[in-house]
Amino acid sequence: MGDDDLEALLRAAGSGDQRAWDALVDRFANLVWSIARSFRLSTADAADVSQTVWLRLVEHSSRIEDPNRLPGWLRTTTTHECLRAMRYRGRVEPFAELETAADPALDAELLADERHRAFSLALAALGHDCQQLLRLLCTDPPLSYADIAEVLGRPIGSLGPQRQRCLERLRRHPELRRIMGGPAGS
Amino acid sequence: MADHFVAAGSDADDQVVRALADYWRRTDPAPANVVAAAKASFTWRTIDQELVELVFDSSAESELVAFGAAASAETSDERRLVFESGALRIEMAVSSNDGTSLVGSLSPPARGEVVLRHPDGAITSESDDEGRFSFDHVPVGPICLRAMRPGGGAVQTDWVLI
Repeated sequence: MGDDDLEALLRAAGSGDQRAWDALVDRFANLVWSIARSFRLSTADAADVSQTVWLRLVEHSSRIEDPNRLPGWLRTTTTHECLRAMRYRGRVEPFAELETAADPALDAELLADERHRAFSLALAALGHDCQQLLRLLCTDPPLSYADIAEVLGRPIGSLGPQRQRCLERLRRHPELRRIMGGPAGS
Repeated sequence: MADHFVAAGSDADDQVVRALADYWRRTDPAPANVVAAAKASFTWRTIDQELVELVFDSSAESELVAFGAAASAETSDERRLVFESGALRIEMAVSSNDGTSLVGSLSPPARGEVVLRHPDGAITSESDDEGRFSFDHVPVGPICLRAMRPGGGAVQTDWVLI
């Protein structure tokens, strides 16, 4: 994804092109969502945070002069809104994979997939710090360590060692060890 | 895709991270209704209004305040927000006792229409001579306020989540 492309999309959205706006949403909706979910917001609260961020961007998009700053703007705005929502609404949930599994079609697919089950259980056994860091390491588009340090409000130097520690603990989980030995179908 | 998590090392770590990314991509992507709402946000685009930006939010300060003497005052259900653009200042206090209500003021004070926008529509109220206004039964979610400058010209606050 080229920056020229991003610049063109931002400019087109700024002049009222809905299709350009939709393309921006398609590109970054998962980034906003993943950050919100990494803070353990419920799907309802994460949806509200997401909508607030995108509504705010509608008014701010024409003010973002350097298109390279858009991902950073989305990241920072989402982080602030999550922290506010957590303090204002005061609701977080434990590891929240069960909500998604309520979808019957998805449910069947997931149950059939041993690897996903193993990851669910192994992740649920980790503390929230590890769950959040791992989620932030897996966003699309990806976040740099500097970005993640900003979201977490922690020094960048702590992230490498923590990543290693969290992954080691994840891998030690019996369910993950069980599927670690051989190839798993997808 | 077939992944092996055999060795413990940075390659193995990278493989686990890739598998995790795949796990979250499948189990917890941005829901279709959330993506649709983000796209629909564009219909709220305004081109002729001055933006009044959020400069203070008590819910972003509460951790600091909690260590101070004001802790008990801040543990009330009221949340205070301040928006500014140049000399124009819009304040609001949101409380959630018995439904969500919002009281606020325009400074400099001006009598006129104040509109509370939310993703499903809008509620209209009037500010009095002292610039004060209020809204009852405010829907919980993202909102923003539109008002007229004392000299004319529409202004709109940043969207905030209440």
